[in-house]
This record gives sequence, C-alpha cells and structure tokens, in this order.
Amino acid sequence: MSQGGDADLPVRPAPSVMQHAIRLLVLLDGCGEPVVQGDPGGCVAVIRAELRLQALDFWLRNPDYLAGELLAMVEADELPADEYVPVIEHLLESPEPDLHWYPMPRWHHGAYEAIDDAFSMLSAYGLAQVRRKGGIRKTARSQFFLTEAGRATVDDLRTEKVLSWYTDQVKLVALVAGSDLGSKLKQRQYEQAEYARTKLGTNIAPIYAGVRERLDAVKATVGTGTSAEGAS
Amino acid sequence: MTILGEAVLAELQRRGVEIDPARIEKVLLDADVSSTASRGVPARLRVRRLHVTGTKHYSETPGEETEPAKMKTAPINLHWTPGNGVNGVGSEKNLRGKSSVLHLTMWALTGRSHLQADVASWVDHVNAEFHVDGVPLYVEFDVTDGVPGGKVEQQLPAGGRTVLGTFAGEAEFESVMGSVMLERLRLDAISVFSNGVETEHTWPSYAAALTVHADKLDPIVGNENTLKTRILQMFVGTSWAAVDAQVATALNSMTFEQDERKAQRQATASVTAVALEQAEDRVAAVKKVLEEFDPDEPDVDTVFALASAASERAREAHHLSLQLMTADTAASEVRAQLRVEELREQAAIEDAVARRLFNGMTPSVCPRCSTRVDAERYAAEPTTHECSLCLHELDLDEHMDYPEPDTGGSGVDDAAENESNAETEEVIDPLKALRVAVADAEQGVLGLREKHQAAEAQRREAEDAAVKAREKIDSARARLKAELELARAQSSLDTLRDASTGRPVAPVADEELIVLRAASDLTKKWVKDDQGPLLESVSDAIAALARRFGSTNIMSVKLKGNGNMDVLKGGANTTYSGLTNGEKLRIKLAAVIALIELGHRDGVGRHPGLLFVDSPAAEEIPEADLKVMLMAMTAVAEETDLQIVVATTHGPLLSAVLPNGNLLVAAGTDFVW
Repeated sequence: MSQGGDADLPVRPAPSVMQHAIRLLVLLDGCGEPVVQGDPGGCVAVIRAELRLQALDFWLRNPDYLAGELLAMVEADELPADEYVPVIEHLLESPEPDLHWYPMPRWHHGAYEAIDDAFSMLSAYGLAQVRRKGGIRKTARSQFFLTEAGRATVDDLRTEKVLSWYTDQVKLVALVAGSDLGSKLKQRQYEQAEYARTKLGTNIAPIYAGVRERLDAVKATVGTGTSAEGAS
Repeated sequence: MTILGEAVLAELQRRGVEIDPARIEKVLLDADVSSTASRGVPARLRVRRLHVTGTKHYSETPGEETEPAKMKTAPINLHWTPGNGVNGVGSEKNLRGKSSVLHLTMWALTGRSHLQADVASWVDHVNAEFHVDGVPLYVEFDVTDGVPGGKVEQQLPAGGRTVLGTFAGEAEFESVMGSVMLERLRLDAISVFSNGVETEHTWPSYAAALTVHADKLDPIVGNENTLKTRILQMFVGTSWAAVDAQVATALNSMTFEQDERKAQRQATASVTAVALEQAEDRVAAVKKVLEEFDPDEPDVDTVFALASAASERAREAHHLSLQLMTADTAASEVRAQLRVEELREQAAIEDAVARRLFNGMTPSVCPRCSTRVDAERYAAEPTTHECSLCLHELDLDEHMDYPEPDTGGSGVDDAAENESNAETEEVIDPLKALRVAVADAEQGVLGLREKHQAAEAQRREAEDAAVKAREKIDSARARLKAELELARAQSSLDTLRDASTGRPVAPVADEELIVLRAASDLTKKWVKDDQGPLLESVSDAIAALARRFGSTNIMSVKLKGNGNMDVLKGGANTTYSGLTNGEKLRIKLAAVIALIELGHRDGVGRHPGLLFVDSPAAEEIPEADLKVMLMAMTAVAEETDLQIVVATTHGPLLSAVLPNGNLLVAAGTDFVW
C-alpha cells in the first residue's frame, strides 16, 4: 500500500476526540516523568509542557516520522540495528501504522492540534489533570498529570485488542523522545525536511519515500556487516 | 466454260483439288490467257516495191581512208521491185549497198532501222509497197535528220486507199507497223517473263526472224535464243502455242513473286532464329542471376509484410499498454477507496471502544469547570435519564451498537443479521466489497500486464524481423528486378516461339498458282501433242532440203519443240551446234523453207513466206555450193509460194542463175543504188 500516493486523500476521517484522549492518556503514561514533591496528590506522572505533549503526539500519529527518528538513532548506533530495522520496516510497510496515521496541522510552534477537548475527557473521568501557570489571557505554561486511575486505565488498555496498539507504539515514541524538552523535540522535528517545508496550517506531508531509501541503505550495510562477521 | 477452263477443272478434280469453276475462269482471265486457240493459218507477206531517194556521199576507194574533200556525192534513186520466188541483190564489192537494200526494206516493214547512221542520213524519202495476202499496203515517209515521219495506207478493194496510221518518229512508226502487221499476219505478241520483268516481243522480233545472216547461224529459227522456242511454235502454227506462252508467262510471274516472298520469309525466318537464340540466352542469363539470390532471404513483399506486421504488433502493444494504464489507475482508485474505508472503520472502532471505555467510568469533575460531580445526580441517571454533568437527556443504548472488539467483523455481521430480521434489508459490507473489487482490479491488471508483456515481446520480435528484413531490402529489390526481367525475357521468348512455330514453313500454294500450274501442264501437253507430228513433218523436209542444198551426208534431222535439233550425219549422231557453219547455214535455210513449205502445203503455220538471206557466201560457202543452193531455192520457189531475197557479193552468180526481173545487181565498183 502506497503511503505517499494517498497522502492528500480528502476523505481521511478527522481523528475523533475519543482517539485523541486515548493518545494523550498513553503518552502521559509512557512518556511522562515521575511526579515530585509539590505536584498534585494522586498523580503519578507528568508532562510539563504542552509543546512536548504535542511533539510526542505528532510521532504517535505519524509513523513515517517516527520511523525516520528511529532510523536516525540506528544510524547513530544509538539503537541496535538487528532489533530495530524490522521495527522500522514494520512502521513503514505494514498497514497497521498507516491506519493510525493522522496528519497534523503545523502551527507557530510546530505540529499542533488543540488538546483541550480531548484532555477534558480525561480530566472529567479523573484520569488526568492539567495545571496552568500564568495569566488568563496567555497561558505561559501548562503541566499535564496522569492520575493513579489514569495509569490503571492504561494498564487495562494494554490488553485491549483495538487500543493496545497505542500502548505499544508509545514505547517507541518514548524511546525516540528521551528526556528532551518540548522545544528540543520540535527542533528535531523541524530538522526533518518535509516537516519544515510544510506551510503553516496545512497538513504535514509524509516523508515515507526518503525514510524508505535510508532504511534500504542501512539494511544493505547491516547485511554486509553481518555476513562479514559470519564469515570470520 | 472455256476449253482450257474445263480441262483445268477436270485435271484438278482428277488431282482431288476442288476449286469453283468460276474461280478457275477468273484466274485464267486475270492472267490474260486466251480462252481458246486455233491452229495458225499462214498469211502471205510480199515485198513489191521499194523506192528510195536522197543524196549519197561516197569514196571512190571503199575500204580505204578517204579525205572528206575527196568524198563524192550523188543523188540516190533506188527503185526496186522484187518478184515472187528468189530475188538477188548483189554487187561485186562489199560496201556497195546490197545489205542496205535489205535494211531499207526492213525499216519500211517494221519501222525499226538497222541502217548505218551515215546511210540513214543520205535518205530523204522512202516509198514501199507490201502485199499481205494480195492486199497492197503502202508505207511512205520522209526522213528529216534521220527521223522518219509519214503514213501507212491500205489499198481498198473498191479502189483508193485508206490511211491505217500516221507517224512522226521511230517509236510511232514502229507502233503503227506493229499493229498493222501482227493483226494481218495473224501473229501474237510473245510475252517473256525473265528475272521479274515481263517483256513483250512484237512485230520487229518476228520480222528479224525473217532474215538469215551468214554470220548469225544460232539458233536454227530466228536470231534470238530466248525466243527460239516461241518463234518456232508460232511459225509451226501449233494450236495452243500462244495460250501456252501466256500461261507460262503468268505462271513464271506468279512463281517469281512467290519465290520473292519465300526468300523474304526465309530471311525473316533466319532473323527470327537469331532473335530466338538471343531471347533464349537472355532468359538463361537472367535465370542465372536469379539463382544467385538466397531463396530463403525475404523478397520485397515479405519485407513490407514484416514491416507492416511490426507496426501492427506495435499498435497492439500500445493498445494493451493504454488498457493496462487505465486498469492500473482503476485499481489504484479502488485500493485508495479501500484504504479510506479501512481508515474509517479503524477510526470508528477505536472511537467506539474508547467511548465505551469512558462510558464505563464515573465522571468525577466537570471538564468545563472542574466542579465535582454530585454522586446522587450520577446515581439518578438511570432513572432521570439526564446526564449527571449537563442534565441533557441520555440515550443509554446509543453506543451499544458498536461491535465488540473481540468479535471484530462478525460483530458487524451479527448486528446486520439482527437488523435484517427486523427490516429484511441486505447489508453489503463495503470493506468486503472493496477488497473483492481490489482483488478483481489487481487480477485484471495482472492479466493485462501479462498480455502487454507478451505483446511487447511480439512487437520486439516483429521489429527485429522487420529491421533485419529492411537490411536485406536492396537484395530483395535486386531480386524483384531480376524476377521482372525474367518475366519480360520469358515473355519475349514465348512470343518469338509462338511466331516461329505459328508461321507455316511452306506456304500453301494458293488457288491461282494451282490453276495456272494445271493450265500450264495442260497447254504444254497440248502443244507437244499438236506439234509433234508437225515437227516430224518439218524435220523430214529439212533433211531433204539440206541435202538438196549440198549437205548430202545429212541423213536425217529431228527438230525438237524447244528449237534444238538432233542430226544424223554420215551415220553419226550429232546436234545442230556440232555442225560446221556451212552445214548450219544450209540447215537454217532449210528449216525456214520447210516451215514455209508446211504452211503452203498443209495450210498450217504462220510463217509469212518471206525470207531474206544476207551474205550467205561469207561463211565458207564456195561459189559452187552457193550456186547449188540458189538453184535449189529457185526450184523450191517454183514448188512453193514464197519470196526469197538473197544479198551477196557474188553478183555474176546471181545473174547467171536468176531471171533478170529478179535481179538488182551492180557490176565492178558500182553501187547497187
């Protein structure tokens, strides 16, 4: 299935608030940092910037960009090729990730989609909380907390047939994101050419073709390296 | 029908040839063949008077060179009246006019002069009288600068004369005399065909045959070999002689024409043979050229056929490629639609699952204001059917229609079944339908791709073949040219063969020739049959006369139809040409006299009974022999009605033998006239 050729299909359904809420929930669980003293009670993890949350969501819903990041780490020997090349291959070629692909509009701070509606779902059910700092006119910074109930829900999701894909996928996002700040993550995403070239407000174009090419190159070097080892 | 026509018809029928009688008559008529013939009945021609005036120029010493100044002139006044029987014209010396008397007579008789030019110039006026069967004819003319001009008259029985013709010049003179004499002497013109030219011999030829020259003894009858047979036949008076001559002339003319044509045909045939040989060589040469071409190599037609096939394959391949493109596009679209449907379904399922998840939870705060949700209000939801948060009316079953994630597609089926139980509406799973459509489209693309690949392979093959063939096009063109050349050469050879075989080698003799040949065969036989007894009779008379003339050792002669003669002399067989001149002269004179005798005695023949003998003693005839001959002739003349004029230098002999009235003799060096 050609990923790039169908990128502009106008009929792709907009992600529902429910799906958005699930993504935010698993991201808080998988990529949040442990709470510290002073944080609200009953919370177990926190993402301290909306920018970071948006950046993480971008990778979760754009498998080709995620694959590109993973491949960069393989290329930089930060990840073992023999383990992650198949993973990257799977991200690029199997239909599953594509089904979860929802291009994001690019805004002033990079990929952005209002998260208020989705996050209110989580907070209504006591799965997460948001704490905003700053004035009413301009929010200087928002922090997103995962509650104990939220973590329990994510644990349930891990065995849920349809939604467990998110809990699995978020591990790769966490791997890619590391502990970088949101601005740093955005910086990395900007580095991806296609992402940067995308005009403000329009959906970010896929980078499937470029990543596929790089993957093949990596696979070729890994293959020869492996066979050379086998021969010695 | 005519006698000859009937005989020819019968002869042809005997030979098994069928020709229409009218046709036979026409052929004979066209050939100017007389229809009937009768035996000749002799007419009598006599010289009665010759009167010549003029002025002569002469030398006193004839035979020697004489100065013009010493030439003498004297008036001429010849008045000769020969009688019946033998007449003598003589002088003691030559060149004293004895022959001139004969020549002047002949001039007046025929219109043709054999006089010496100087003698002719002496003559001013000639007045001659001839008798034909006793009827007087008068020929009178003046001579001006050697050219005769005058008239011919006939004595009328009632008295007076009628002019038969006038003339000015030799040709007219000869023409007038010819028509006057031939008709009256019942002689026919003799046509002789030789070398493609038909010559008509008329009165002068007959008249010439009336003279026996001592220095011109061949042939026996007449003085021209070409005419001896015809003259003999005419004088003998054979019934069919004239007709035979006419037939022979017509036949000769026709045979000549046919021979000419045959020669032309043979020339053409030999040309044809050469052309045929050339044509055969040409065919062989072209065949050789053609054999050098590899028969497996494509000819021009094949080259063009291959090019055409290549273009056809290309068209087919292009057509399939367009079909494949269309099918590919269609398959792409179907795949895209399937993906959209998959995405939509995935989104719907995820949304349903997430919604159910959240619905299974108890809302704790208002997402808008974070106010705690009252436990009682939440508990009252099932009874009040109001949302514990916004008091909106709840439809609690609303989201239960979403399928269980565990059952996947079958859940949809169950739901569809449930619904169909109630509404009996067949639900088509769009995902399934799209997957089938994608499979079909991909199958179609696969099939087309295979076809396209096959067509491409064929196209490449056809193009390769066409390209290879095109490389051979020059050779193919040369081969085509050679084939065309062969066709042309073969065609011309066939034409020549048709022409050479189609033409009859020996042309079938046409009817004219058949008729004339039969007529000639008949007339020759008739002439021979008729003439045989006459010639026998003449031969006996010749032998007897020759002996009387002094050739006593000639026992018998046999005059043949062709004018030749076998002679039995002294017990040995010889021919006329084997005799001495003296013997020849005797025989020749004997032959003429015998013919005259025959006519006189039996009334058969056409010799007019007039004979001139010029200088008989010139040919080894001793005077004594001449005397014997003269005496014999005189004796014969008494028995037979004839007139003989003998011109000789033996004047005294003439005077001794002949009566005075029959003499014109000059003595010494005197002139006869």
